[in-house]
Amino acid sequence: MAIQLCNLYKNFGPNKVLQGMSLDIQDGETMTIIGGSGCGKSVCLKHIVGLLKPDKGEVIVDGINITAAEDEEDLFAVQNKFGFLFQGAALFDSLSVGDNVAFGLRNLKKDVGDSQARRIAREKLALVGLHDVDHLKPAELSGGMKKRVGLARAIAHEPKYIIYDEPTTGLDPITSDVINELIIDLQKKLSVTSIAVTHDMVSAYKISNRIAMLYEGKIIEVGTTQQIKTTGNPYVRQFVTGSSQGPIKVKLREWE
Amino acid sequence: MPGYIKERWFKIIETTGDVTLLVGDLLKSIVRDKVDLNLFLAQAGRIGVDSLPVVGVTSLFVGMVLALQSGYSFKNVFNEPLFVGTVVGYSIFKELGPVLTAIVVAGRIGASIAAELGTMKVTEQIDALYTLGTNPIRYLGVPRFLGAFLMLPVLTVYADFIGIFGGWMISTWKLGIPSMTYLDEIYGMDFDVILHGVFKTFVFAGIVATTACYVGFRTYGGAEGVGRSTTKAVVVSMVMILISDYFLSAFLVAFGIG
Ligand SMILES: Nc1ncnc2c1ncn2[C@@H]1O[C@H](COP(=O)(O)OP(=O)(O)OP(=O)(O)O)[C@@H](O)[C@H]1O
Ligand SMILES: [Mg+2]
Repeated sequence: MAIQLCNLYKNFGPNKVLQGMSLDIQDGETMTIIGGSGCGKSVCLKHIVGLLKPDKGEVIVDGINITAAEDEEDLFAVQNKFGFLFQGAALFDSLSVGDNVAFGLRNLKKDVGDSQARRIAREKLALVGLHDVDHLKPAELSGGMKKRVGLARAIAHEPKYIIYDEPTTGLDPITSDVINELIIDLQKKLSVTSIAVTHDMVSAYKISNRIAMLYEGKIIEVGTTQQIKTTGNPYVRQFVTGSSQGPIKVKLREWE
Repeated sequence: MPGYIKERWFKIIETTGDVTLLVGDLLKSIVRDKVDLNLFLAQAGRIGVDSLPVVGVTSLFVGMVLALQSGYSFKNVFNEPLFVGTVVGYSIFKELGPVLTAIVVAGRIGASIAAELGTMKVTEQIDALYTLGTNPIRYLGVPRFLGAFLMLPVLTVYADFIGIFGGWMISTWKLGIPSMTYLDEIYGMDFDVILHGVFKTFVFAGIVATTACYVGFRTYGGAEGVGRSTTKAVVVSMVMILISDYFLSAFLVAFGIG
């Protein structure tokens, strides 16, 4: 088992976000986490790489309990195995697009020279459908372009695990599909293990081996894509079919 | 003790602890990791060069007004503007040079560091650094910290000279003091006096850089949070500079420096 989340609890003040969340991710699979807006998906992803610490529970990556890693060197060693696409791309404003993508290469791969790093950065940008943008600053890009640069940056150092926080949000349908293909390709060719969060069910069905649904701080169902499509769980069914009718009520007003 | 006072105290103790940890991390990184020279020079340049004009103007006018006020006061008492050089020299070297420079830098650089790091925090760029194998303390904190340490003393010496020059202008042109009288009083001062001021700037540099980094790295709550952090960095630095200035002066004088 590559990554195990065991019984995670996380509160932000009075806001209970994770309440006993457990999930196992196997080597080489693409696991997609779905769930309503604000239910804690991004928070969960940050726990996996140790950017957030749970109040209770454990995160185990390759047999190492990263929640107990006191020495930050140990934590860095684990974080270096990951590529992380942030929901808001999180590009470094002060660096050019090319330097953003090459950033991880320069820091993590000591044997990669400067010109080589630049070449790899251009290659990865081409993979996400961007050409001749490496000299631009992130502020000069559109939202969808930022997302794709973020993706190129996450995969540039060829990490073992890749985490995608809404990889296709804000992209047109065709570019979305290019990204889906890329995610599948990475899994097939480099056998990376991926954890994705998405609201886009088309993409979720396409890229995932398994899908897990997070609801009220817990995983309420995990299954293969086929199992999720034909689930008997009314909560999951309502979510994947995108219906406002069902057991999940979206609060529109505070007093409801 | 009422609950809210207790809470306040807990908060103060907690913050002190966190700041100590941050300083510890900064020092650990400086000692253990290689300092990135390019980043350090970029920050030193920004802190130093960007502050030159405003520090210059501030200390020029402070020197001028010191000469003017002391000149006229002494005229009232002694019928003659005596000791203007001495008053300007001591005030500038020991207090106004270091303190005003530190305050200007707190407003100019402390604010911009807090805003920059705060923006990086709320847009998850700090998180992104971690996932790309980079410790933000080493990559962002250390260059700013060391940049402030290098540049604040330099800026202070620069401010000292401009201030003395401002005092000289008013003394000779407006008070009719012979140039040599003024300058002799300055030259006659102990080197300890300058040392006294410069020594303090290292502590002020630590205050400005640490406060800005601490507040910046802890920013939350979007653009509003960045604004809050920026204000906090400036206000806290200024107050701490002025408070620590008193104790530092007392300490240095007790040890016979200045
Ligand atoms: N750093 C933080 N400090 C305080 N509260 C936070 C923090 N990060 C997230 N939260 C809270 O945790 C909850 C879950 O946030 P999260 O970003 O994980 O949602 P999400 O499931 O990713 O939603 P979306 O699909 O809209 O991205 C929200 O209520 C949010 O306000
Ligand atoms: Mg999210």
